[in-house]
Amino acid sequence: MTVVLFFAQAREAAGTRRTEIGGDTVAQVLAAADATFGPEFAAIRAACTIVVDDEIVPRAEHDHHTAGAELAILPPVSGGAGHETDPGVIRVAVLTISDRATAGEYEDLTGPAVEAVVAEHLRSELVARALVADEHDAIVAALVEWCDGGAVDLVLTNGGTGLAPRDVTPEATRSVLDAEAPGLGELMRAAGLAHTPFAALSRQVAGRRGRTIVVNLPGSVKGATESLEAVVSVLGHACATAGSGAS
Amino acid sequence: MSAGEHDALVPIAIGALEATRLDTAALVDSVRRDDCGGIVVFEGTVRSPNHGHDVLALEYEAWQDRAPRQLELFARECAEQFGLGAALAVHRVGRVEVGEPAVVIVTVSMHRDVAFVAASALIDRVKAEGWIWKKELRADGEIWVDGC
Repeated sequence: MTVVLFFAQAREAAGTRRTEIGGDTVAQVLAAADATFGPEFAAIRAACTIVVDDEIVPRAEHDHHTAGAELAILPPVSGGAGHETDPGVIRVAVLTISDRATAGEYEDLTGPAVEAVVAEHLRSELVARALVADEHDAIVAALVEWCDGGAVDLVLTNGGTGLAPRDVTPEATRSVLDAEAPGLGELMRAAGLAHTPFAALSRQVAGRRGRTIVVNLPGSVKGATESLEAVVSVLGHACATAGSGAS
Repeated sequence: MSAGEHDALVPIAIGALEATRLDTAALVDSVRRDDCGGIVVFEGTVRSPNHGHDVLALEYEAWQDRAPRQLELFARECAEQFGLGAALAVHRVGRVEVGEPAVVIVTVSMHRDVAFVAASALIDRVKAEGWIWKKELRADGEIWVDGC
């Protein structure tokens, strides 16, 4: 059994501060709590951060993460949402685009490297990750789902930005953007050129769809890491501006 | 050589929750030190009206097992990051009346410029990451507030 703690509006909706619930994973315990306390609780709970044994468990990991000894259900705290320009906690999704990783020929190392840079530099929560082949339609489908779902502020893709015939990420990305932000691509290429002239062959695109920012990163760990580090300082403001609805 | 400006200060870090009215002057005195010449104090107070609603008071709730440790950590990391002599973050829980302090931040530095920047960074972090929630008690009802 897992000790489940409730706070603020989640506590009021559940009618208790503490209970015990059985379940192997975070997702199972939360589903059981939703079933026990009803739809009003479930709606509040969906916006909560989950901490298991002192560690924040991102949404993307709820299905796999063990429920632990103590699971806390924590509504959004008072900071962040009060100012339009405060980026708050940025909800990040990472899309790895690779034929070979999709076929299982090698392990995706770039996606985790991108997540590590995000965790280090952005006040953020990883809410989704996916792996697709270098296929235009698959890339478009993933981008549209995340951008239009209202639960992702920043999509970082990696892979498919070179000049090989299979490299279609920039075209797929451009086809879904409402507004392009060419300066981000230029900044990333400029940073890469400091290390290698081959950076000139990278075609990354960035921009906004709806209220979500999309940024292409190269497929190599080094290229993706350096590119992201080149632009990470402005991504918080980009997300705040895109998400504010301000013109 | 006497203790000079080139010696790193060993910082004092204080973080706590309080259930009764915060005494800002006493909190400042608790971190005052002779080798620092700049003290910046921030008080977050309960405001009315807020977004057009008359507010009677705020009711603060915290994760009692974690929030004090968090506040102490935020103060310590702020002091280390900015090279402060001291940093303090103390937050109220329970009912706080309009005009009363809900949170007090104090940063103590050898020089004022750093103390101002550090105080701003510390209150931002407390508000963004501290496991503390507030319910607005209004003339026409109660509401949990996400925003500041």
